[in-house]
Amino acid sequence: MPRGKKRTQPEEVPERKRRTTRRTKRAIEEDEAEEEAPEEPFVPPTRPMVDHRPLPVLSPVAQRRLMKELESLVKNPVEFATIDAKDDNLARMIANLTGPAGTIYAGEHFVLQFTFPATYPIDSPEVVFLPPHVPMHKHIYSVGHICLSSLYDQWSPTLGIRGVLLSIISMLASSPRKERPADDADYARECTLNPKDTSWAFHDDRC
Amino acid sequence: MEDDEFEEDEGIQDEDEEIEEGVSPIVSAVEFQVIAPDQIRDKQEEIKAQVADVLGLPPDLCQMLLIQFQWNKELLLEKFMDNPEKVQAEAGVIVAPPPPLPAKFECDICCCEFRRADGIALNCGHLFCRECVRGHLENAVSQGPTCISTPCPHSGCPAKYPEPIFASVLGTGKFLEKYNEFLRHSFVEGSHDMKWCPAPGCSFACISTGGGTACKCRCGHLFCFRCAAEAHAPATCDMVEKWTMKCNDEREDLTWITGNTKQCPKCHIPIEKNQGCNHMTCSRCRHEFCWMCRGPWTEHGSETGGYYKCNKYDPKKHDDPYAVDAKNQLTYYVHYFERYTGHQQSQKFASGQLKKAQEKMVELQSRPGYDSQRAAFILQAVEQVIECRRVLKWTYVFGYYLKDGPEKNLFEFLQRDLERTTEHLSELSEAPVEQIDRMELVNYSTATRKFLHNLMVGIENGLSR
Repeated sequence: MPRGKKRTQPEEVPERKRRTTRRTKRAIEEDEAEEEAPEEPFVPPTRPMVDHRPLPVLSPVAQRRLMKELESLVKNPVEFATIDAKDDNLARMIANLTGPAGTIYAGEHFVLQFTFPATYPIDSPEVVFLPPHVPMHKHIYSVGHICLSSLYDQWSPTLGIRGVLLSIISMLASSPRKERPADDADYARECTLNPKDTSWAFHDDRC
Repeated sequence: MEDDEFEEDEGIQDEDEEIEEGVSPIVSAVEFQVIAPDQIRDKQEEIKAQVADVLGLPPDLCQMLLIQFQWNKELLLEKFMDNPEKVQAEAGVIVAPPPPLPAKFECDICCCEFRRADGIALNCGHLFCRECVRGHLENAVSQGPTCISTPCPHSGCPAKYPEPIFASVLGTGKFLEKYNEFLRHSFVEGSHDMKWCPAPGCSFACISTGGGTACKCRCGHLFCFRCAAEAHAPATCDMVEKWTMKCNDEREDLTWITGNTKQCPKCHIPIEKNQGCNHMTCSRCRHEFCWMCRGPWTEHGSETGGYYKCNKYDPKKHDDPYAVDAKNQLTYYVHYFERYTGHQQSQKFASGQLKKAQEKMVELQSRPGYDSQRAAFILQAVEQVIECRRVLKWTYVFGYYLKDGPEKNLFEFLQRDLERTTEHLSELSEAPVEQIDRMELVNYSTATRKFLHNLMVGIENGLSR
């Protein structure tokens, strides 16, 4: 189920201490440089952040499992989603999503990126929307990160690509209005490329 | 700047009234049992067996229930009687045996075929191959303490892995070790009568068997069972908490200056105290003075009885720059704070003396008439100094929150006695071997112990004559 990201109360913790997500040293330095500059109004990113991280080298188990999953998705596709995988490296896949008919996103086009860790499916894949193809949703940040517990600590090794796609589509289908999370601008400044670096908290079990 | 601080301190009277007039019991080793990690295991088994007896369920499933209830046996039993299905579901316990399992199956994680014998299933019936279960459990353990309630890998399945599966799948290795450590921690932290010894690196746990609070671990660390700070009798936990907060609130520079340096009363060079005794000699002008009151040392000593007024806050006699207004709360605080940090530093210094005392013992033993038992008095004297310093330190917190009156007079009288002998014992015990008089040191140790006892008993009896 989709959930909200935890917001730290600024009056409780001093500014410096608030940034406690697991982050690279570089990211913190960048932050500090940013803090000195006057705060500029937040502009949502219009193209994907440049990701220089090398792709994981999949274990034989992960490769076999992903091949099986792809076969199953060809045989029995998920409605409103198509998978675009390159045979030479299964560690990264792109899914093209169409807003489900009868929802507020009907006909819109979204792009999801899956990055599978070497230890997949014991560890969850990194799943993000690629800007600018990010749905306007209460639990989806404009940088493309999705607040969905089954992608993080509620991940189950049997979920797979199909499970993730179905959760995200149902998350879109049940959304009553198009809006961003309340802390969208703050989050964009704080987060790293990998949404799994964020400590997600769960306070919204509804939609 | 000083004015600000004065204003901040006007709240003191109000704070004082919130302090309960409780009495802290003195150190008693009888009221605690110190146990090693493997004994914690036995205790755990004991509780498991008790719950299994009452509920008529296998002990391993009972452990899952206990984990869910943070080892609160009473709460578990109560809730279980109310609604057993709900309690079991929340704990991921399935009592009914699994449905018949197929002879061959495809593991949903690695997508390979296996015989039933090579798979592992909980009572939910979801079969996975051993290797994938191992990966799943190892991953859970590396995620941290939550691994003690790891669910079945099947999406949405509530069943959780009991301990025996961890043990058989993880084999003997660092993952199982980690798992057992997390299990032990959940048990000790969940049990109301158990606490980890707070000393860094110590793996003993202590069980409270009486009402006492000062607990001495087998590692030697003496701590308060209630608040985990250093044992702080006669001050109460409440006082210690307020005092610590107060000390943190005070400006850092004030704290450091009053706590660590004083100017030589003669040549005004700032002096940092780095030795145990209050008898100071300025390294520049050789002036001898008392660290506490900065008066000349010649006016001090048991002959004159002058020095030992130093423990008593006298509003009329303060020539410190802070003592402008005798009624000033800051001065009141600084008076207690200086003495508190004084004893704290002396305690640290005395602890450092332990090694030297052992060397002195060895030296003594080489002399005729001294065996290890007969030489032990040196070490005992230093240990006595450390204990007295620790108690004296906390008496200044106790005294700070004690209202004026006959009780306070008696308290200060007892405190003065202890302080006087401790100071003397401290000086004697720091002397080089050739200057040590065995009888004198033994006598002073005994006297100091007696005064310590008098002080503690006096406070315990409510400071009434």
